[in-house]
Amino acid sequence: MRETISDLELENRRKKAKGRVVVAVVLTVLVVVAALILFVPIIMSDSDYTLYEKIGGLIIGTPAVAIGAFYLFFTIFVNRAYRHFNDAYKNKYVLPLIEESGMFEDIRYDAKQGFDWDTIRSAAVVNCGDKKYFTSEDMLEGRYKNVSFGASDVKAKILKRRGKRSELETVFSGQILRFSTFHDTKESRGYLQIFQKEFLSNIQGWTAEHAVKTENEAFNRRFQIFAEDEHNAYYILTPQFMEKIEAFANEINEQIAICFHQSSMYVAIKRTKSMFDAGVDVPIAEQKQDILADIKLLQDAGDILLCITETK
Amino acid sequence: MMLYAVIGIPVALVVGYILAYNRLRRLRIKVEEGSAGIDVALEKRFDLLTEQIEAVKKYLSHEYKVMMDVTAMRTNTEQEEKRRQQQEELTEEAIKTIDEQIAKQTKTMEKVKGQLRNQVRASKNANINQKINVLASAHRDLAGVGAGMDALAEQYPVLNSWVSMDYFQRTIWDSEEHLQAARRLYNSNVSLYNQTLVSIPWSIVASICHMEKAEFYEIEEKKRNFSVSFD
Repeated sequence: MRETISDLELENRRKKAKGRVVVAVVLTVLVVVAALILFVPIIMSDSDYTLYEKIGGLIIGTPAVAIGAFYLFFTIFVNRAYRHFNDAYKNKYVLPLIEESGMFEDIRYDAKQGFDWDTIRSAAVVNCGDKKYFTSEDMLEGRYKNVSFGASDVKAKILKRRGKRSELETVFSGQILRFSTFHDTKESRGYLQIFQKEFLSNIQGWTAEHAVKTENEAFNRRFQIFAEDEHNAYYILTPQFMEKIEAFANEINEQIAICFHQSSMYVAIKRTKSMFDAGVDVPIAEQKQDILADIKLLQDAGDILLCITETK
Repeated sequence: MMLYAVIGIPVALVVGYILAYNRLRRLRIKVEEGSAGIDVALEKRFDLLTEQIEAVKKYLSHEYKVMMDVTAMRTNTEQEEKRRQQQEELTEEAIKTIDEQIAKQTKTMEKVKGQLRNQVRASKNANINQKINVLASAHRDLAGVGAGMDALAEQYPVLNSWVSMDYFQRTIWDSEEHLQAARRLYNSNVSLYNQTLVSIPWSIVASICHMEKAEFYEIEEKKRNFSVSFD
């Protein structure tokens, strides 16, 4: 449902959210200063530790207190106001701007919906994490070059136990794109997965049986390939298609993963930024164009990766 | 301590030999699997080309004759008018040329069929390199037949309306993609096998067991400007 909120009201909500951020920052600073005033004399008078240990403790402890305090104040004061503003912003601008651009056909957008956990799990394009902590939003669907697509923000987490403590670890955060077909005639027999290698970042979940090495050494150094059927891997990953994948990775400049299954292609792009989220610092009129920048990912994936003969 | 060394070293050598031998054998089997993939892809291509040639033959022997009979009745319905126009595109001379081309391609296909049949019979005893040479030869001949059929379709577009040459060209293209995939997979397995064969310590085991390098599957791509006579 499109928001009927006026530009002025939306701008007021942005300013209110921004104001709340300022309040949270000020309160955080006050808490840190108060903590320093209260605890520094106590720490410095403690004779069990050396001076260096005391100073080290203060250097580590102060930011920890600041982060904890900011998180608390953000949750209490800012979260609700920001969501109030952000939801209104998305409902007002996202769909009209995308429709106006004329890039896609049959566009549908729902800020609250996304891919479900089962879909991402069966896509096998990234680690889907625990179902309980899986979130997805900003579902955009439509047709591009006569191919049906879906795109959504996805955040997957798992609960890890480290000794007595448990903590939530994010295994994937970014966008996932789904195309109903990737080639005029070809289909993938079984799963074919391609994961971009990145230092200290592994977004793989379940992987297919065979690790495949192609004849392209540069491609092998950059990507890991897994396939249920090795012949199928070579059938889909022709030299030309491998070039397309490399071109797409260069264009996006983020860690990517691609998975083929039957006629579908899933593309995962690891990004910390969510699609279409508004910022509180910049006036709304200036940040509307960011919406189009966000869907450029989708357009790039379609332009570079799809091997479809367009029919008019 | 001396006893452990006396017993341990030979045991370690034997275990190492077995492990190296097993790895080489596994890689060899992967190479043979790869060649079987090429075999399957070539058979499929052979079958599709046979189907296409039979369809053209059927058109020449039956559909064209029916078309001539219908035209003779001259009922001037829209369908018969269309057939008459198509008939005009195909003169007797053109029919003769198509016939000759089909006969030529059929002869090549018989040769390929023989090669593949002999290869199946000999496969148990023939080494992998001999098999690959036979397959490469069959592949070259099939590529020639495919190019000949493509040239026919280009020269006589009317064949498309009766024989669905587009459909055959699409499916044959797809079979070529599968053939390329099988070739690349085979060559990848051969590369890994050959690299292992020349690396220490596997090269020692390979020379003891007289294991030879496998040949890559190479085929000289036939270019589209080969000459087909339609005179």
